[in-house]
Amino acid sequence: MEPVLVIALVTAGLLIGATGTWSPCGFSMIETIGSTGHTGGQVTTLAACATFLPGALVGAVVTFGGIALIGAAIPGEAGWASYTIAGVVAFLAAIAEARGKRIAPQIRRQLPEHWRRIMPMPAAAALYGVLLGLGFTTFVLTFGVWALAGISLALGDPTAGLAIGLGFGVGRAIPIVTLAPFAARSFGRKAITLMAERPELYRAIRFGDALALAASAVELVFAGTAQAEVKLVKGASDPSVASPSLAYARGSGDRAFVTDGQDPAALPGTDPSISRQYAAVLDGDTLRILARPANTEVASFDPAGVDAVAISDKWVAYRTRNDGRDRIYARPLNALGQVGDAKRIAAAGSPGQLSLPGIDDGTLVYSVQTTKRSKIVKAGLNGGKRDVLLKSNLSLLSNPSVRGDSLLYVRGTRTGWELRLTKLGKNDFGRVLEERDKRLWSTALSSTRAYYTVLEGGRPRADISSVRR
Amino acid sequence: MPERVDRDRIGEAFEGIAGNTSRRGFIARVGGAMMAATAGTVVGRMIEPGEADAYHFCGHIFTTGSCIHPTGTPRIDADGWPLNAESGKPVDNLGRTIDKKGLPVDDEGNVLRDPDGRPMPPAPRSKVCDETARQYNINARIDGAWFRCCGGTVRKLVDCCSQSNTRINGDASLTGYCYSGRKVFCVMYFQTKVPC
Repeated sequence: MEPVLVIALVTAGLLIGATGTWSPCGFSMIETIGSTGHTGGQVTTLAACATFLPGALVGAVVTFGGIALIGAAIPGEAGWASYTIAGVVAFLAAIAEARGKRIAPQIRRQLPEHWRRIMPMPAAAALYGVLLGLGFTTFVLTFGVWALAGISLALGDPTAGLAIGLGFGVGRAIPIVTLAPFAARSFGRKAITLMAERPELYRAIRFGDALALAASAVELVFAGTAQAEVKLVKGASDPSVASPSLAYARGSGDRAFVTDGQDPAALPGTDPSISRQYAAVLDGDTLRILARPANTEVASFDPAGVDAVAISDKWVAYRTRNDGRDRIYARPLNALGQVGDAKRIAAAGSPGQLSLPGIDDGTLVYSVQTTKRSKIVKAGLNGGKRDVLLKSNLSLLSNPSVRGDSLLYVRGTRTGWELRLTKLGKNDFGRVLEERDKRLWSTALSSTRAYYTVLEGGRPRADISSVRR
Repeated sequence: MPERVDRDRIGEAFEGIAGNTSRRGFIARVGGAMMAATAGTVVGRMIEPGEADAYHFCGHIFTTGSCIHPTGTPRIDADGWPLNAESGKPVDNLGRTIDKKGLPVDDEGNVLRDPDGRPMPPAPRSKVCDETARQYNINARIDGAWFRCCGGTVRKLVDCCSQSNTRINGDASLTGYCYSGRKVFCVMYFQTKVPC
C-alpha cells in the first residue's frame, strides 16, 4: 500500500475519531476523567488519561483491523474493483459530511455510567476507552465511521485496517485526554461550553472529515487505477500475484522484484513468489521467507539444488534438481512464518521434468512432463489426496497455477500455444484465454487477471503479459 | 419553613414505568439487541441506552425531583445559572427573561420599561443549585455530570449534591453522579446545540 494512501487513511481516521468528541459519550468522558468527575484530583485525572488512550487504541484496532480481516477472508483479491468500491464509499461519505447530513443509521447507546462508581477511575477510563475506540458501540457523530468500516472491508488489507484503527483511536482519545485535565478550570470550561453551544464547530470538524474522506477517495481510486495498469512487464518472467502486488524475476540473474503498480521494489534474492503475508526468494541454495510488506526475513533454510519456489500464507513449496532428478517438497508455515518439516510431494527422473509449483492456500498444483505424456496434478497439502486433473498423450500441459477453484495452465500443441482456464475437478481443458505462436511459459492467477510469460528466441527474451479472466 | 415541591408518589411511580416502557426506550433496547448481535454479546451487555425518555425531563432516568427553578423545568447554562427551558434564554429569580445586564426583556429582546420610560429594575438571579440549597438550608454543590441524547440534541444531566440523606422528594437520596459521600438532592440539565 502506498505511503500516501496510508497517510490519507490515518488522517481521515484521526479527524473522524476526533469528531466523536461531540457525542454524549465524548462530553461525558471529558467531565468524568477530568477532576469534575471524581475526588482524586489531577493525579487521578492524568492516570485515567494514561489508561484511556491505550484503551481507545485497542478498541479501534480491534474494530477496523477486525473488519479488514473479515474483508481479507472474503474470496477474491483486493484489486481494482475493491479500491474503486472503497473510493466510492469514501466519496459518498465525504458528500454527506460536507452537507452535514443527519447521521443514519444511528447507534443510540451510551457508555455504562456506573463503571466510574464501581471501579478505580484509571481502570474505568481504560474500559471506557475501549468502548469508544470500538466506534460502533455508542453514538456515531459522522458518516466517516461507517465509511472507514466500508473501506476496511472493501480493501481487506490488515495494513489498511491497522492504519485506520490507529488513526481513529488516537483521534478518539486526543481531544478527551487534552481537555480532561482542564475540565474544572476556566479554560477547560470555556472550551467545553464552546463545543456544546457552537454547533458550527461541530460542522467545521465534519467539513474536515469531508475533506479527509475526499482525499482518501482520490488516493484510493488512484491506487486502484495504478493496479489496473499492471498488465504487462517487459523483460520479466515467472509472475506471482497477490493483489494488489505482482512479483516477477528480471534480467539474466532472475533478480526478484515486486510492484503495486508503482516503481518496482527489489527483493533480496531471485525467482520470487508472493502471498498476501509472505514473499519467498532464492539466494543460491538458500530459500528465504520474508514478511510483507516490509520484506523482513522471518525464516530461511537450505534445500540443496532448489531452483523454484511458490508460497501461500500457510505453505511453501519448492522444486529441487539434483542428479538430473526433479523433486517438489512442501513445508507448512506457522503464524510467524516459521517452517515445519518438509514433505515430499512429487519426483520425476530425467528426461522427465516437474514444472514450477503453483500454490494457493493448501492446494498445490504442478505438471509432470515425460516423453510419453504430460499431466497436471493437484495435491492437497492439508491431508487431501493427490488427483490428476488433466493429462494428454498429444499436447504439452505445463506451468499450472491455482487460485481458489480455478486452474490456469499452458497447453502446447502442434499449431501453437494456448493459455487455458478451467475449474479444479471439472476434468476438461477449459476455455482458451490467449493463443500465441510464441512459447508461453509460467503463469499466475489473480481474481481478475491471468498472467503469463511469453518467451521469444533461442536464449529467450521473456515478457510478462496478462489477460482478463 | 422551606418551600417544598409536593409530588404525587403514585404518579411518579407510573411515570417511571412509562419512561422505561416508552416506544423510544423500546427502540433503544431493540437497537441494543441488534448491535449486540453484530458487535458481540459481551459488549452489547456493557453499554446502555443512550437516549431514553425520562422521569420528568428527557435524559433524566432516575426519580429525584427537579431543583427549584424560576420557570419550573430545571434548565441551566454551563455555569449553573437558570435558563428558560423553552427559549434557552437567561431568566432571573422571578422567571423573567433578562439581557446580559440582568434587565428584564420582552420576547424580542427589548428592555422592559416602566411608565416613565426607564428600564424595569433587575431582580436577583441565583444559581439553581445554590438557590435550592439556600431554600432547604443545606450545603449543596455540583459534582459530576453525564451526557445523553434527548430529542435529537446532546443534553448534560447535572446533579445538585449534598450530604443530606433525603432528597428534594422527601425520601432517601441516591448517589447518582455525586461523590465524596454526597448524594443527589435534586437534578438539573444543560442543553447543548450538538445534534445526535
